[in-house]
Amino acid sequence: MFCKYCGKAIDEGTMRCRICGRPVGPLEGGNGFWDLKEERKAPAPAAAPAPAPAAEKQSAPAPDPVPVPPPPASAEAIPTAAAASPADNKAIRELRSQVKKLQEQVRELTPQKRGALIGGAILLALLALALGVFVLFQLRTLNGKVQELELQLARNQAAIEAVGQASAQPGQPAGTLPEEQSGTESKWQGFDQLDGIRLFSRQDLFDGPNKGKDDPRGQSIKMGLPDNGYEETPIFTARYLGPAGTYRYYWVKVEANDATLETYFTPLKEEDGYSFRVPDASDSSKTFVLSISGEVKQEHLGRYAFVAEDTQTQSAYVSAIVELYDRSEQGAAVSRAEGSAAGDSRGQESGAGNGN
Amino acid sequence: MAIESAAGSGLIQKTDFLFSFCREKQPGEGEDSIAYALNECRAMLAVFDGCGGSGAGRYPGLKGKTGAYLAARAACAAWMDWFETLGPAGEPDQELLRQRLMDYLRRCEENGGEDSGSKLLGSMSRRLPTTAAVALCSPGRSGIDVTLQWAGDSRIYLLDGEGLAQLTEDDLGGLDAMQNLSADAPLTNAISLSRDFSIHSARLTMGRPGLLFAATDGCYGYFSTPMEFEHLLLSTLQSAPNIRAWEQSLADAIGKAAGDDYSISGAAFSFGSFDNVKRQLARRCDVVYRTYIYGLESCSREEKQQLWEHYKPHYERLLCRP
Repeated sequence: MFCKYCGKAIDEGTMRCRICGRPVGPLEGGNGFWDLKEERKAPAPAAAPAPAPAAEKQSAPAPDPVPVPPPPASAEAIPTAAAASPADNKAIRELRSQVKKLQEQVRELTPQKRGALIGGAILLALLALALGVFVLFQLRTLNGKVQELELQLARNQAAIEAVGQASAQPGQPAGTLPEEQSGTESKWQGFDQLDGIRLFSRQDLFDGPNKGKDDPRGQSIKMGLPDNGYEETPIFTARYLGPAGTYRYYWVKVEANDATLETYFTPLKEEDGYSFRVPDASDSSKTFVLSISGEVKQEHLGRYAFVAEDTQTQSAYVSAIVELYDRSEQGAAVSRAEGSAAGDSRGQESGAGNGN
Repeated sequence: MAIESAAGSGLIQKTDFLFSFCREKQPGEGEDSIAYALNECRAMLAVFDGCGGSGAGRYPGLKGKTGAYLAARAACAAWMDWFETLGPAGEPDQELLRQRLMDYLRRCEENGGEDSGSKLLGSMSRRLPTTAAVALCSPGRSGIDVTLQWAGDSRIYLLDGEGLAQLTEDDLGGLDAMQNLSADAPLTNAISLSRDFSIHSARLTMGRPGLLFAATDGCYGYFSTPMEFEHLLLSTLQSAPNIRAWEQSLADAIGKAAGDDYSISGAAFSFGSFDNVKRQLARRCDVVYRTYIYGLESCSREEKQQLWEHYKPHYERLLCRP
């Protein structure tokens, strides 16, 4: 059986789901004429059955029975010793005296003392919460570092594989990858060969179930960078020329300076968020804007990929790579775009103020 | 010994979830009743629809409730009572069921006072009339063995990866599901005190994951084609985030179309999770939509009939006739 709310398996005999805490539905129910049944089983045969109570008419199944808590212990609740053995009597007396002591202690508690106790309890709870948050934060930081190291390792492995593959298959064109390559990184080898730009595998880019597909599509890139470079907002646009379908797209920073993947350049101007639909291949000239709002900082420099992900197959196509780099010797930031598609030679470069 | 072993394999483990609702079209006037019960050895999914036309007479001794109301609830209680007597294995005792049923109905009449008068007279009139559709499930060697019991036009359905299948034939003189939607045919068989009736019985085995449910005519009887009912089941399922939400959205969606009380009592077996239910039925949902539903609104009566003829063999692939 599974919880109706969270879908997790329910342990047999439990009243509430251990995951979401919601009540488990009863295994038996309905709205039959139960009171008639009761009358039939009653000893007095002539008694007429009571009419159906209002609860019977409710469409919802009967609620779960609520477990009745045991009554609170009190001096009155302790049985009398009339029929008990001497040992029992002694035990009962001891219990009574303990209860009396407790009752006296409770009475002695002044409001100030009670307040102090409650305050102490709250303080302890807050301390425990703070400790928990701190531990979580540390774990998250540690996890980030581990991922960073794994990423670095993956890059190194990919580079080794790329070299090996290039020597094994010298005729392999850039951007088209052999079908039977094993390993995630090798899927992206074609991009590795492109002007030295490295792309992470889709597995790295998106933590999805499917690996990236080595099927880059044709694209063209326009870019615009104002004359004053850093001070205004650079905008890159990409035009998707791939097959028809429904895609989810991202601008992804593929090689940030700090070697982390960031997706803070999100598409801001699409009405339907991240998704777009290409009804047919002839109508695929949709443009997608990567904009950097605000001042461009050093941390923004780097390379970005336009990634279109087929929402059906979850295959990702990388269709553009642009780079924002510091042309410090020329006194301005420069954007540069590179065609990443197979055989696409439309990689362009522009200097400051040269919107294409 | 072998039977005990099979029966002891745990029906609860094979049951993913139960779902049910019983909604009144007019508040306080509902004449449907449902029951469900599940234990390690057996499950029972049941609906009862008190026949409002022939059972419209009221019983002052039972708070003025109609015969239909009382009959549905009495039958429900009788089945539940009978279910409790079933052992882990062996054949359900049909004769005992009948005795319990008659016992409950008689007691209703004895304690209800004089029927204050149905508007229907003559051959149409029945005392304490109700339909019944009950599925009894137990773990079998090659899946889940299902015993179907029914009388009247409440139905038992199976919905699996192959689509919706009506399992029980209505007691409507041989009308098929499409004809039933347009013809207002009288029931040829229903449980009541005034006439002899049959509780039909049939068996089948569910060899694959499926949703088994009993439904009253308010659920399926207000669409223009049977295909729409299947699509409603599937589409609400696909858009539901969890079981509870599906249960409610299904009931709400049926309620928009229904002109009568509508009730379902069902269970999902052997899927493993709600996500698996959705996954395994997603393709069927797409097929039904593309094949039958898309453009259906603009279809003429003849075109709908053609679609039905195409749909019918599959829909009736497991139909059990009395």
